[in-house]
Amino acid sequence: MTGKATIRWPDRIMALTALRLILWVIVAAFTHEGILSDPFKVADWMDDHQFYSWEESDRTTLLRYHQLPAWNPFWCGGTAGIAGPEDPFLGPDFVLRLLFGVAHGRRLAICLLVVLGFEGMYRLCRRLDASAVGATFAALVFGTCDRFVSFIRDGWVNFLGFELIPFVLYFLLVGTLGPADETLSAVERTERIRRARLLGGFVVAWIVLSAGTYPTPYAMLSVGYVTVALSILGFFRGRPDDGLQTTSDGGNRWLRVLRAPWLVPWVAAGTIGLVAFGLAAGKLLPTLSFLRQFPRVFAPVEMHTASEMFTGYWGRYAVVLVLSLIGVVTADLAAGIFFGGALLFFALAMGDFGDGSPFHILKSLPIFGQLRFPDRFMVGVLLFSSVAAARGITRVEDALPIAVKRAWDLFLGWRKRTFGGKESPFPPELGWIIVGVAAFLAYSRVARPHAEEILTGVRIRPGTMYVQEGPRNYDGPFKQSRGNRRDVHMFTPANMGSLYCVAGNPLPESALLRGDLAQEEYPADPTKATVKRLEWTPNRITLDVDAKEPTTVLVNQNWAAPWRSSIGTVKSVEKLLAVDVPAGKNVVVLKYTDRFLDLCLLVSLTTLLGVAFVLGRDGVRWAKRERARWATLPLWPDDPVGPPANAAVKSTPDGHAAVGSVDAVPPATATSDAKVDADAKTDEVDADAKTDAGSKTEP
Amino acid sequence: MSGLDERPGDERQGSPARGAGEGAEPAAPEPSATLGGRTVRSYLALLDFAGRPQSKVAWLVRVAAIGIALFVLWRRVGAVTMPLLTAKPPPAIPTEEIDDYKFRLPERTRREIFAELATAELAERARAIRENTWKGHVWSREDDRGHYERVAARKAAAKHNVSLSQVYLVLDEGLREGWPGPDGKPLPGTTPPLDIRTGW
Repeated sequence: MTGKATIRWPDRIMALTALRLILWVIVAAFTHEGILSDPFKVADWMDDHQFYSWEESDRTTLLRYHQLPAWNPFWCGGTAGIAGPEDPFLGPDFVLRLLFGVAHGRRLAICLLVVLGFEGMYRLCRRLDASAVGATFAALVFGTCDRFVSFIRDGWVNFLGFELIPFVLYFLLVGTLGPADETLSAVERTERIRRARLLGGFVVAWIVLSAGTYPTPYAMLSVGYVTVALSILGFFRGRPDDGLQTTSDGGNRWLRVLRAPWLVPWVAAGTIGLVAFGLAAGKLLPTLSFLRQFPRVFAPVEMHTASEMFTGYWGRYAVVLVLSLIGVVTADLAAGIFFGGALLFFALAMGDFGDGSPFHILKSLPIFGQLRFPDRFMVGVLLFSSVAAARGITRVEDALPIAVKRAWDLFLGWRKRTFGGKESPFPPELGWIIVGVAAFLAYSRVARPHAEEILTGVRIRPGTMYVQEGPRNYDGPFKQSRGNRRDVHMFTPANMGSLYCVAGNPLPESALLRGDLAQEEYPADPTKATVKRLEWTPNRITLDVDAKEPTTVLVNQNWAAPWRSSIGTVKSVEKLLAVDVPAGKNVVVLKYTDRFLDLCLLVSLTTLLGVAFVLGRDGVRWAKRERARWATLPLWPDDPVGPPANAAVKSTPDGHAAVGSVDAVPPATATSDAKVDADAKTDEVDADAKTDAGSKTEP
Repeated sequence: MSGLDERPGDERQGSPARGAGEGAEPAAPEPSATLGGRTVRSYLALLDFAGRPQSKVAWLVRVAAIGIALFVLWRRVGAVTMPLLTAKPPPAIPTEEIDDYKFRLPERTRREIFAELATAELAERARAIRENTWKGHVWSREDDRGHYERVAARKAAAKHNVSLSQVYLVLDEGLREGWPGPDGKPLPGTTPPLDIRTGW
C-alpha cells in the first residue's frame, strides 16, 4: 500500500509543473475572461462592495498609515479588523491587493486561486494514480465549480479558499503514504513526507488566514473524512513500507507506535493541523475570541430535499457522476473512498432534516455550529466525485492497453497451439502506441467534450460580472458618514466610514454615532473644553485637549476594550469611545493596542520562520545531494553508469534507486538527518574528487 | 491501480523501465530501434519529466524545458493581465474648493442632487410607516431605506452625469450642512445601530 504511481508516457509530459501552469492559465483566462475585463468596476451584489471596503481599509491602514489593521474605523463606526471573521488581511493572496490595489488584487486573487485549484486537483488525482487525462478533467471540473462563479458574483472571494482543499488532501496523502516516486531513497522520502505535512499546514493556514469562514470547516471535514478512510485502510491492510526511516527511532517504542499503519494518517493530519494552527494563530484565535463574544444570532433550520440537490448537480455534472460510478463499479479503491466522501457531503447538503442528520450533528460541534447554507456542501460533492471520476476515466483509459496485450497473448497462444512455433513477447513499441491511442481517445472522446461543455456553462464573460461603477478617491480628513452598506465601497476610498452597516454577528454599535458632525472628536460639554485633532490614523488618534476642568472627550467611534489613552481614562459612553481627561492643556494620544492579537501574530511569525527554516534546510540538502549526484550521472540515459568502485553512489541491495543516487540508503541502514548531512558532505567531496574519473566513463 | 491499493511486490514494483505501468505500458526488453547511434528510448527518456533526471543530458533538457515553459508562462500571464493592470483608473475627486465648486460640482447642482435624494428618502420613510414594514423593526427599515437610497443615487448620477462617488459626497455634505429636504427639515444624520434580525 505504498501508493506507487503508474506512469503512462502521456503522464510524463504533463509532469512538468510549469507546462501545466501554462495550460491552467490559458483555461482560467478563457473561463474567467470576465474577471480580467471591465477594470475598476465592481459586481452588482452589495457584499462585493462590502468586501471591497474592508480590504481597502486594510490596505490603507498598512500602506498609508503603516499600521496593522487591528481596528477598522470605516465600518459600523469602528470594529475589529484582523479579528473580524471576514477580514482577509493576513491571507497570502492579500499581497496582490497590496501590490496592485484592491480592485485588481481581488481579481488577480481569484485567478490565482483558480489556477491553484486546477493544480491541486491535478496533483491529488495523480497521487491517486489517475492518468494525466483523468486528472486534468477533474482539475478543470472542480476548479471551475459553478458554485464558485456565484461566490465571485456575490463578492465572496474568501470562499475561493475552497480551491485550496485539493492541495490539502494531496499533502495529506503524501504526508501519509509518502511520495509516489519509487526511485527516492528513504532519506528523501522522509524529507518529502515532512515537507508535505508542513506544506499541508501552510495551505490550511492560507485558507484560514484568507477569511475562510466556510472553506476552513469544509477543509477540516474533508481532511477528517480522508484521514478516517486511510486509517481504516491501514488497519485492515497494513502498510509495510510507509517510506519513513524505520530505524531512526533508536528503538523508541512510542515512535514505532506512531508508525502503526492505522495511526500514520492521524499523525499526518495532526501535524498538518498543528502547523496550520501555528501559522494561522494570528487570525484564528482572535477570530474565535470575537465569535465567542458575538455569536451569530440568525441561525435558522435549513434543509433541502435530496431531489432538489441532486437535480442541480445532475444538470451540469451528470458526466462526472457517471464517470465516478465507473470507477466505483470497477472496484477502484480510491474511487470508492472518494465517492463515499461525495455521499457524505451530499447528505450534509441536505441540511438539518432531522436529529440524526449529519448537518444537525455537525451543527452541535464548535466552529461548525455557526455554519449556514448547507447547500454549499455541494462543493464538496463535486470535489470528491471529481476525484472518483478521474479514476473512472483512468480505468477506461487503462483498459485498452490491457485488452490489446491480452488479445496479443491469446492470439499467440492460439497460434502456437495450432501451428507451433515460438512465443513472441509483446512488443514495447506497440505498447507505447496503444497507451498513446488510449490516452488520445480518453482525451478526445471522454474528457475534452464534456469538460468543454462544463467550462462553457460556467464561463464568466466580459461585461457580465463587474457591471457597477467603481469608487473614486477623495482625500479628505477621516470622518464618519451615515453611509450605505450597499455602496460602502464608495465611502472608504473617500476616507469616510459608514455607520449604516450589517454583519452576521451582532457587532456592538453605539447609538451616539453621528454622520453629520463638524468634528469627529469633541468634548461632551463644549463649555468645559476644546478639542483639536492633531493626527488621525486608524489605530492612533492624537488630540490637543484644552480643558478648564476635568471632563470627557468623545470620539465618534465605537468603544472597544483595547483602546488606551496616554492621559486620562478610556471609557464607554453608551458604547461610544470616550476618555476622561484632567483639567489643563494636554496632548492626548488614544491608541488601539490589542496585546492578545500581538501575541497571536507572534506565534504565527515564529511558526512561519520555523517552517521556512525546515523547508529551506531540506532545500539546501536536496541541492547538495543533486550536486553530488551530478558527478555520478551518465551523460545519456543509456550510457553505462560509471561511478568508480568507491564512489559516493550507494544502492539498495535490489538495485533500488541505484542510478545517480548518492544516498539511496535502504531503509534498514538509513540513519538520522545528522547522518544525512554528513553523507551529503562526504558525497560532495567524493563526487568532486571523482568527477574526472567519472567523466572518463562517458563516451 | 488507484494509488492506494498496491502493495510492495506488485508487478510494477522495481520495473526496469521506470514508469512502465501494469498493463498500460508493459515492461519489455530494450527496443532495437536506434537513431543516431542511440536507442529511441534513450531520447524519449529525456522527455520523462515525472521523476528525477537520470542523466546529465536529461538534467539539461529538464532545465531548458522549465526555462522555456516559465518564459512562455510569464508571457502568457502578462498578456492576460496587462489589459487589466494598465487600465487608467477613474480620476480622483479633488479636495480643493473653487468658488462654489466642490467635488467638481457647482452648489446648485449639488443641492439639486441632494433634493432628489432627500425626496426619495422621505418617500421611503413614509412608505415604511404606512405599510408598517418589518413590524416596526427599526434597523430593518433602515436597511430598506439604504436600498432605495442606492437606487436613487444611481438615478441621480445618471441624470446629472456625475460619478456615484460624487453623489454620495454630496449627500454627506447635505447631511453635514443641514440642507433642508422637501419638507423643509434636514435629513437625520444618524442611523439606527446594528440590530440584525433573528428571522425573516
